[in-house]
Amino acid sequence: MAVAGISDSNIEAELKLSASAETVEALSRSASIARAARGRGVVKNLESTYYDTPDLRLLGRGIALRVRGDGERFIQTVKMESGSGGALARRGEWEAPVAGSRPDLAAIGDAEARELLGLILPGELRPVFTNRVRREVRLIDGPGDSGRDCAIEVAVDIGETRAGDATEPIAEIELELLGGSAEHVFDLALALHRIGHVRVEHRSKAERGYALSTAIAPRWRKARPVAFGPGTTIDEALARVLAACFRHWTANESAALDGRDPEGIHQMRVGLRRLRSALSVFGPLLPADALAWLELEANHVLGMLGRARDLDVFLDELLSPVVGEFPGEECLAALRRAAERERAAGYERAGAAIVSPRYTEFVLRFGGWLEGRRWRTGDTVGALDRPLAAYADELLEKRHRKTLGLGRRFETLTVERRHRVRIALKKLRYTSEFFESLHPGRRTGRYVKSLSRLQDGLGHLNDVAVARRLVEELANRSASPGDRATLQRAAGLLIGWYARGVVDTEPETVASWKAFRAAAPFWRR
Amino acid sequence: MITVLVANPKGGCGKTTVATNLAAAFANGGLRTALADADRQRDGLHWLKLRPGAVPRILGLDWAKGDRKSPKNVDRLVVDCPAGLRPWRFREFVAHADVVIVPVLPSPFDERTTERFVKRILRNKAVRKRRVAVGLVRNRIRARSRAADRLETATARMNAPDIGEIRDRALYVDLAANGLGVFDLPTPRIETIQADWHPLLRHVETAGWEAAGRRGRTG
Repeated sequence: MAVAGISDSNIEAELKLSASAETVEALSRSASIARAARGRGVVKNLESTYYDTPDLRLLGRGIALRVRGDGERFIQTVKMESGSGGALARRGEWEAPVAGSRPDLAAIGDAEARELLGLILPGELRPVFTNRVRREVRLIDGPGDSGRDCAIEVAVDIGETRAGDATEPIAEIELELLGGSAEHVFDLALALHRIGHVRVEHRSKAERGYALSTAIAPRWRKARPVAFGPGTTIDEALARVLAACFRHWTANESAALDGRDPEGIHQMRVGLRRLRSALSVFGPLLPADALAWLELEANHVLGMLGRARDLDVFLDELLSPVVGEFPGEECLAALRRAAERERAAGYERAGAAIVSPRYTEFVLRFGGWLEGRRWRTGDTVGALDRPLAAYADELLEKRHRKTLGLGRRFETLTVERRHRVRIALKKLRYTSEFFESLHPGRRTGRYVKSLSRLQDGLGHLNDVAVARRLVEELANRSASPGDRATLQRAAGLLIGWYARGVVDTEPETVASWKAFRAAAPFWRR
Repeated sequence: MITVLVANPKGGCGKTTVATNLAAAFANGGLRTALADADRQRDGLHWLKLRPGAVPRILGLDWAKGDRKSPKNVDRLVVDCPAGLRPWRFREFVAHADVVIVPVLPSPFDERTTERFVKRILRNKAVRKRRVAVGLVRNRIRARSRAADRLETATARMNAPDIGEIRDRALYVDLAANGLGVFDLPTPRIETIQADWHPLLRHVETAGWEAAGRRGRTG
């Protein structure tokens, strides 16, 4: 990996931008790159073939095995994909020269790399896909006034991926930071995006090649935990939490776009919701204009993705169990078909939002803002350098009290009031999860567990309320009166089913409220 | 590291043959390999002593006396479990393992013992949580025999994946007497014999690696 010593708060010092071949050509000749160039570019024709076993064990392990030739020599690379490979969180890359385009396992000197590949039976490795690109590499000065303190390597790749009979064009600009602050990479990318629209490509070349050659859906990813110590400042915590949110939501873009696994869009939304919670936690310390911009953009994307998620939850978690209870019920089948059409429309909308220039603008601006810690302006700077612990405890106490206040006489609260409890609880939960590492111990685990159990109960009530609105909407929108009657019948069945369920689970919900009320706040000593 | 346990309380079902051939396959694949012998007769360690210097090295570990330390800098550890292993002792072995391979012979007696054994290990917590992958391998199979068909029906009942069969070959006896496994031989003519082991080796590489990941152990 080209990035030396990625700190926890840095996102990437390497950024890949993809666009059409014409746009990429035009951008590579644009002033942002051409005028800043330190000398002439180097052009190479590269051919990289990726190998795997017939049962794709290397893919399963998150390992890529590649042999790249430039016409003169061949280099074999064993590469660990970031964030993949089960429990493995390490990253690594091992290179060795080989005699030809076929892999040679004996050339791998490193025992760790050899172990990652595992046992390869004789003759088992076969090519999966090949990338052929014309690569032009130039070294340029950083944008704006960063000048010569910052060096960025710009690699422009134009070519194609071929897997059997399938091909896919490659047209991308890779920006790699060689010296200076990573914020400049984002600034340069943003400048390019404003000349000709690009998308940030988060997938590696290996990931894209496998997607072309196999029917395997892109991976979705969970958030990586962020831990703080007693010495962490607010500023440091802010940078790390925001970077974790950024990585989490952007890493799920391709799974969300693919749409085969509902977890993709769900995880992308979780990442964005955590960003929103982080903004509510640290908001008072951020410049007002930046806060307003971030909230606006995060809410916009969340909104565009929301419909698809609502329908995933409705179809998989709410409608399916009822269909199971009434097999062969025609009106439920009609409701499912209507909901599936609506889900397809929801995914289309989500996809359009993800590939929109507005989204790329948001991602690139956010990256630069984060890497440059551009929240450090105005009169909050002093407060930012204080230790996190005191701030965290104060906020936890405030949110805990607010939730308890809203939930007083919980048994008697109306649906609307409980909805308010749920919102307060959600904020408290995110705050607790952000800061639990400051207070390691059993008490913390118990508190967070009681919170999440209560939240699950109330969340179910919310899902039911959403489903209710949804089925009514689907029924009222249908064209023919006959369809409408069928869907209304299904809506009645479903609403009745869950109304009864809510009555049944009421004692459980009240009990989990009481358990939460009784849980000792872990931040109090 | 992936640890492979070769276990079956029934004696004579080919545990040592399976364990030594697996170890030889890993070592020939360029992986740092160890063979832990937990049987008091120490047949596995004896086999290692006979091993010629020209074939890839396998580290030998004496686990018969209960001192069972996992070696460092080893990629694949194959454990040859003793026959007649009691359930509580077997639990100690499972605690070390990622994959349990259960060899079973085509004989009604072996089938019965193995079925009981498999039932018991499937109740083990680590197995239930899929931190250990269990697989059956039908050993010493004669092609198109009634006993072989019978065994296939029996393993299908056992709720553990049937990984495949190792055909009965006189070659295994000759190799064992010289400290060798089938993967130590470069002869292309025995490729079909080596191919018997491929499903089993792939199973270790896939299920074993996933189990090791779930256990939170890396690489």
